[in-house]
Amino acid sequence: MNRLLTYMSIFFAALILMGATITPSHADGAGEIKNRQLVMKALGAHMGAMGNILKGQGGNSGHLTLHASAIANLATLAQDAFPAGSGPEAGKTRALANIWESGSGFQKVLANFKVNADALAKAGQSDDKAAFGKAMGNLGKDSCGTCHKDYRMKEK
Amino acid sequence: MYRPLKFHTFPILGLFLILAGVFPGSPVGAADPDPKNGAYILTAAGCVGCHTTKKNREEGRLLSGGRMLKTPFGVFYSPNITPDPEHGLGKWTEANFIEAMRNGKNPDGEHYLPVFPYTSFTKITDKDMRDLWAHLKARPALADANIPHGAPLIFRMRFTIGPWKMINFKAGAFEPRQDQNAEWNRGAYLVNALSHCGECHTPRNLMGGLKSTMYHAGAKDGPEGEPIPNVTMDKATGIGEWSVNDLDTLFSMGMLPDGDFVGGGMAEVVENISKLTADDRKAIITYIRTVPAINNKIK
Ligand code: HEC
Ligand code: HEC
Ligand code: HEC
Repeated sequence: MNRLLTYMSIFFAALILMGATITPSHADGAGEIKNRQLVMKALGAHMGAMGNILKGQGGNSGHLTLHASAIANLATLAQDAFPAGSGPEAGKTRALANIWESGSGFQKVLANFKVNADALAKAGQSDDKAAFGKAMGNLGKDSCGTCHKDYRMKEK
Repeated sequence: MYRPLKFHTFPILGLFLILAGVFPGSPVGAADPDPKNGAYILTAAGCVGCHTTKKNREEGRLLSGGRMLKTPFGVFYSPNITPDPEHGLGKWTEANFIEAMRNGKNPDGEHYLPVFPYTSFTKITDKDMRDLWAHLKARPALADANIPHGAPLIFRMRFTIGPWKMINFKAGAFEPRQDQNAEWNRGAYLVNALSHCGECHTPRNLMGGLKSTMYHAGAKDGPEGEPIPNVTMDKATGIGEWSVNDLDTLFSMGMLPDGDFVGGGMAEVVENISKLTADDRKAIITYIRTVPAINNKIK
């Protein structure tokens, strides 16, 4: 019985691994939506945690650097989180269709997001608190806020 | 050669003029308008957001109108308010401007539709209105033609607004409350006269007037059909659990306590109030934290 379970788990693990390597080309829109939402949730969690620290409400200010570099990594992941076919036609998402329309300016906002996030991570390497706050404010307003204003559906 | 009168050469006249200037509305002797303060008022009141299309905004062509405003009463387009003589306010006088802002009437005496939030702007002080006008007048003129409103005729008929105003509109500048301190009064002024928070956060009656008994208690369907949160101090359904710092983080960068960032209309408000002085943001926070709690569940 135990052995059977082991074989079965190996079989399924293999299946999952195979699946994982195959996935990108066969990914369905709904799965891509899910991926994007999870990346965004993680961004929210790190920004929220930094906010909590900066407001003096909890957490360790020594951890700001780690949150900032996590955000820089997530901003890299976000570059691939808007593949064609993951818009409103593919499932439940608040991503607006104009993301995939040329001339809507989205690609510029997305690329700029990485620049702003890297600037935050860089500010996190120094001891300059004011510079860090400024970089965070800039990232928040210029990237998170701007993109949500222009490319995320209002809540229903 | 003509020389302007100087206060120090005519102390008594000077005193008279200063006294006269104290009375709101008095055109005599009020100090020279300050366009720099006018630019600040423009920001606090969010005029650029409503009076500029996204494309023009990216090109730095501000206030030439044409922005589509979707409301439950139909689609409206903001007009050009640059000093262009043909398409904008080039031929207006200061009095025309104050009449529009204070009483919601155009130079022909017709009523403006309340999509133009003069219901709040009426509370702007005379000084700030004159400063704002001085600033607007000095801006570059842009010759963009106005777009006719797309709303159903009934909601575009200006004469119907007369009776509406009798019920839903009270003209008059903000009066500071004597039982509150300067910071609270500044906050009340910013919130109610300039940043017009209540135009979104206070629900409307069937006629589109604000329900004053539900001040800041939120609405299930806001100006563009989206839910608008309750921002009274109610702990269960409002922002009663928010710290002062939580509010400051929202107003200075747009971040909610859970790390998400506001979008839609509130993102524009943040763009504006994040540019105000830290003292003014603090005043806004002080004031909104004294608004009575109302239990009203939105989501
Ligand atoms: C380039 C555009 C863009 C940028 C930049 C951006 N977001 Fe988003 N965000 C979106 C979109 C679009 C959605 C809706 C995703 C969906 O529903 O598919 C979203 C959703 C979210 C959500 C809700 C996720 C969920 O489904 O619960 C959070 C939280 C969030 N973003 C946080 C952030 C933070 C924090 C930043 C900045 C560090 C940020 N976002 C930057 C576009 C962006
Ligand atoms: C919520 C959007 C909104 C905001 C904010 C707003 N306006 Fe307007 N404004 C409008 C609309 C819509 C009209 C047209 C009203 C009508 O047709 O009756 C208008 C009309 C006007 C007019 C009359 C123009 C004309 O040609 O008759 C003036 C002047 C004006 N606005 C100035 C301002 C100033 C100054 C501010 C900032 C203090 C401001 N507006 C903020 C939407 C807005
Ligand atoms: C144009 C409409 C509009 C105006 C004007 C406006 N708000 Fe908002 N506000 C919103 C919307 C919509 C949200 C929800 C945004 C989101 O979650 O993405 C919001 C969210 C908020 C929140 C967060 C509440 C929560 O529970 O998440 C606060 C606090 C707030 N507004 C205060 C203000 C204040 C103070 C002003 C005036 C300075 C103001 N708002 C002006 C539309 C508006």
